[in-house]
Amino acid sequence: MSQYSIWVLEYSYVTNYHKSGVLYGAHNQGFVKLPYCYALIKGNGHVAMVDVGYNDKEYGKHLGDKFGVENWRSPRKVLAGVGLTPEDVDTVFITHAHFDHFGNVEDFPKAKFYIQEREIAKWTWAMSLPDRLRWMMVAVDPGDILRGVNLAREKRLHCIDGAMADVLPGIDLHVAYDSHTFASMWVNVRNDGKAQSADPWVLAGDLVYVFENIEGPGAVVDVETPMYVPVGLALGSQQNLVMATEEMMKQVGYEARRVIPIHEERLKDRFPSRITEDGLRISEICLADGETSKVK
Amino acid sequence: MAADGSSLTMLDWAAQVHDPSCAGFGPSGAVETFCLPDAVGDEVAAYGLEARQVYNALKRVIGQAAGLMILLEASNRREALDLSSLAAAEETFQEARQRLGRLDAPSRLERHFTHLAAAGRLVGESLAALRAQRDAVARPDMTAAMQSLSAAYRHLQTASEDRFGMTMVDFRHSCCNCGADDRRKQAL
Repeated sequence: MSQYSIWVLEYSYVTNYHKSGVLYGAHNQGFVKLPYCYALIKGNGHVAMVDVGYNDKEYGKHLGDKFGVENWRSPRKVLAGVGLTPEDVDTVFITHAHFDHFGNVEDFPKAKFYIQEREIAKWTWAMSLPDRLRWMMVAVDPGDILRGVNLAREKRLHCIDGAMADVLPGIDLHVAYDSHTFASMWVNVRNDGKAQSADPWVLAGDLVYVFENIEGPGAVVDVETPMYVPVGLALGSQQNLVMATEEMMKQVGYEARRVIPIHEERLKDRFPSRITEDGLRISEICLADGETSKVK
Repeated sequence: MAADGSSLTMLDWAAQVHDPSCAGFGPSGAVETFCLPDAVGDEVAAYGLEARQVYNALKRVIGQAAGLMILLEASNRREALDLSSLAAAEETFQEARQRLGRLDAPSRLERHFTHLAAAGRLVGESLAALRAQRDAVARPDMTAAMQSLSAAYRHLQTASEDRFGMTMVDFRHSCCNCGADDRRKQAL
């Protein structure tokens, strides 16, 4: 019995992105398409999101011109692809505080948000450091933190400390400290509701960008079997990224296809998908009992 | 510092993602938009490079103060206001205020300076409100501090100018950044 449906919804993309950004050490190996996505989980009477993307409004052109980000669409347009609206969303898990994950909370007026307390506390600390240490402050918009205050005052932002089981029935939050960011989360959906699930799905946030982060080429260290290769961008350490990957894989019984990277263009090769009229992809990871496909 | 290749690159990284009128900051105030003149002379460049120091300091203080307020509101951590971070924010703010006092804005950039000065004043008011609440017997009330801080952000956002590195988000190792220069070269 499957309790939840999961879709990965593309809301924008970068056509040519350095491969070394998604795969540690992949220098001079050209470019890959980098889709920007968030995940949507529906079931048990809930509609939950994993991250909310960023707010385009007046600066989308700037992002497009300078960074090659194309074809941004609002959550209202994107969620319509699965028959939902932003107002339907009651829960949002913010995996980390980067602008493209935490940058659009105002578009979800009825949602409760969850983020790691340490993610906020350490960003706050980082902003107190001298300018020469500002490398640790990149990709965070103070405006997003400000909007977080408004959410907190409305009792819609919950700062959690560490892992949290059953934040919704059968859905757990986990954290990788000092990895991609100070406290990046991943979401484990135990889709049969059992503690030792036979149907788990991990939504990895930015802890895993692409398939190769889990099934990377082992040949570089003379190993025949695939190995974990961390993402190229780590505020903490690549070691912590690798250890988080091991933990995620353990939770899914080492079945790599059950760890869902949201910057992976090739999800379409593993899961049913379709391109919307806006040119963005919807990937259908799994369907709850009784739910109808949104990609057929 | 000479405007060598690295500094030019530095001026080129960033972008803004939120309009000052964003509803997320509460009701919109009357913050007029501002555009730097296209032709940037020495006088403007000198002002811009110094103003950038003020801008970045205020941006950091806004982030710090907002982070402390989140910890207080969402985690009920009263000790958030006792953290050394508040003292650090005040120290950064004082440095910014002194720089602001020394800024010599060319006449055509007076409006830019006005926004920067307004942001500085409002950040100061927000920190003062936070200090006052630190000693409150009852649960701290963040209303005044938040209003000032949101207004400060609006003014600072309006004063953003990526040609001088005055941007709210530093994208250098965010998802979209890698290879921006190479992509441009490829497109040529």
